[in-house]
Amino acid sequence: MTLLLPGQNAPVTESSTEVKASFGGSVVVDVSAYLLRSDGKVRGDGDMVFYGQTTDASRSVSIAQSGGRGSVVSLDLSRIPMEVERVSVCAAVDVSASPGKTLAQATPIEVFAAGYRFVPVPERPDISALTLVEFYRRAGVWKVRAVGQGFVGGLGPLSKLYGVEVSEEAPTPPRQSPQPAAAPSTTSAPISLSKVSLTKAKPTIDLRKGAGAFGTLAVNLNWNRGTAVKRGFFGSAKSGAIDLDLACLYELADGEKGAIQALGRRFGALDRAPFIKLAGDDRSGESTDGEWMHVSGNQWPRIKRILVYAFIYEGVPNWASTDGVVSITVQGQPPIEVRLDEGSGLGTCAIALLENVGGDIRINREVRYFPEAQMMDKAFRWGMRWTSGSK
Amino acid sequence: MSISLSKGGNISLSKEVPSLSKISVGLGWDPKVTDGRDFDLDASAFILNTSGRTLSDKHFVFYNNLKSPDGAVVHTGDNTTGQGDGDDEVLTVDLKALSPEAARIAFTVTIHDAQSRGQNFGQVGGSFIRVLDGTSGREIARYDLNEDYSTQTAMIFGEVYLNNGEWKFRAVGEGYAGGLGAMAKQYGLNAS
Repeated sequence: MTLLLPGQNAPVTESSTEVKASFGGSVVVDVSAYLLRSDGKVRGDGDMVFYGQTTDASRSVSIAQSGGRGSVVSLDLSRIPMEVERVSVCAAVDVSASPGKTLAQATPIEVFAAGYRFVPVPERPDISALTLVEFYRRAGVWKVRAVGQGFVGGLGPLSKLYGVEVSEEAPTPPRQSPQPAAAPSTTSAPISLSKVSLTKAKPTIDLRKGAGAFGTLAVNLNWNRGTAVKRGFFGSAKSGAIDLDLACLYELADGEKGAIQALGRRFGALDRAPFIKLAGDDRSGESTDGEWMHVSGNQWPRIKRILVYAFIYEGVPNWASTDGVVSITVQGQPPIEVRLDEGSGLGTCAIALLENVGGDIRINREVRYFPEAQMMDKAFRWGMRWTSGSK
Repeated sequence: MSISLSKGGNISLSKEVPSLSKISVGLGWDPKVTDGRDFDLDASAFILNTSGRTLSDKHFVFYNNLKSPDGAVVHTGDNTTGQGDGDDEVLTVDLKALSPEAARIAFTVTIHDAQSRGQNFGQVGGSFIRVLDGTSGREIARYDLNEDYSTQTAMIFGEVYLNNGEWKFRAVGEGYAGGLGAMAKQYGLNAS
């Protein structure tokens, strides 16, 4: 694979291409992308792709996390609007999850872009945001350039360089204001870069619904699957590969209790009780965006509590090596992340408890490990009867 | 009105300004917007004979030799960051004072310490060269180097040359790896 030097450019042969970026160390790094006009600026907030907006307005550039230490940006260059001359793919330290850290502590930074390899080295120890690569139009075709130039201030100055109006909140979990939220259609409002990482030190956030109901809550579990080459000949995931299953316990306001999990094919439903649905199980391990569970936000008053948990279905229970991340996204609210960064040899991990507190959603980071779901049930006083099951 | 040239294009300066005796050559590039190492770009001039060799070591005008022996070519000073609007570095040429052997003057820009700083023209944008009438200050010609540069560390922006008694300017925009040393070598100098 050809190694690109900073500043070097190369042809792009496939219009459907991707950028994979991975980082070393324990620094949490966010990857973002900007669709830029010839003047180097975005046309609007819809041209920024990041954790708060995972695809652009034209749906030609999208981003997914691949485990806790890397991201994948997928580009369909043939669909990018003609006014867009350049797509910049960038990395920035997540200041809420890794306060005071820089990209110099996240080396080696390894980028695979359109079949080329690039290993940018931050030029200064205090660099906390970096433009990794740029795709650009040249004489009617797309090319890629290794960039590797950075900023001290993180995602904020980077976004400003590209003309995105950003509002940066303090890196503490922002309590949603009690007064009714602004009308959702205000297009002039600056794009919010805030993201909430629930940590041991700050384990709880309350989401207030303001004037309207909550939209759909999306719960995503993603992790590092281990190296694909370790898979057996028939694709069995015996050695090295890890398969995590996302699941939950729920309790409704009317007292109904249950579990949603792929095991026993209890996938739930959104339009009727329990108003929670697990999207198909990612048994293949090939999907880059992990497993998804959705909760109907406008039915929230009928839900008492939900315990989001994960269990290791196949592979050795070594949670620290999975780089697991659970993100909870509620429309109009900053995404909330819980990182499974404490190792354990036990197979089941209670990740987050979502409770209905006077109509608000209180999300509490748990990250507690149990040998099996029954013990977890007991610890949270859920009170279900458990029988063993298999898929 | 100034004439905008594209790569490879040329223009007769003598025809544009019949009384032309002095020119200023302004070279510019975009200041860096990121927080990494500064880019220090250096403009230089090589005064060449008809076979493309520098007349002497002293006819290589750069940051360590700001004036040619005949006093005709003067470097007005080094800008080490590329900050500021307009021309980043300016050289003046008194055409009438040039040595009679001078057939061509190449104006180049090189990246200082390119190797150790890992820098190249793939990271530099907004480069241009413009030629002004040294007497009136009017811009005669301009060339914006909007090529797709990559790992080049030395670049010939343009040339002023004598053709059948007329002074002409050519937009060159050709890059090389190896920096100022390689550039000097190419023009017949022993640089260290």
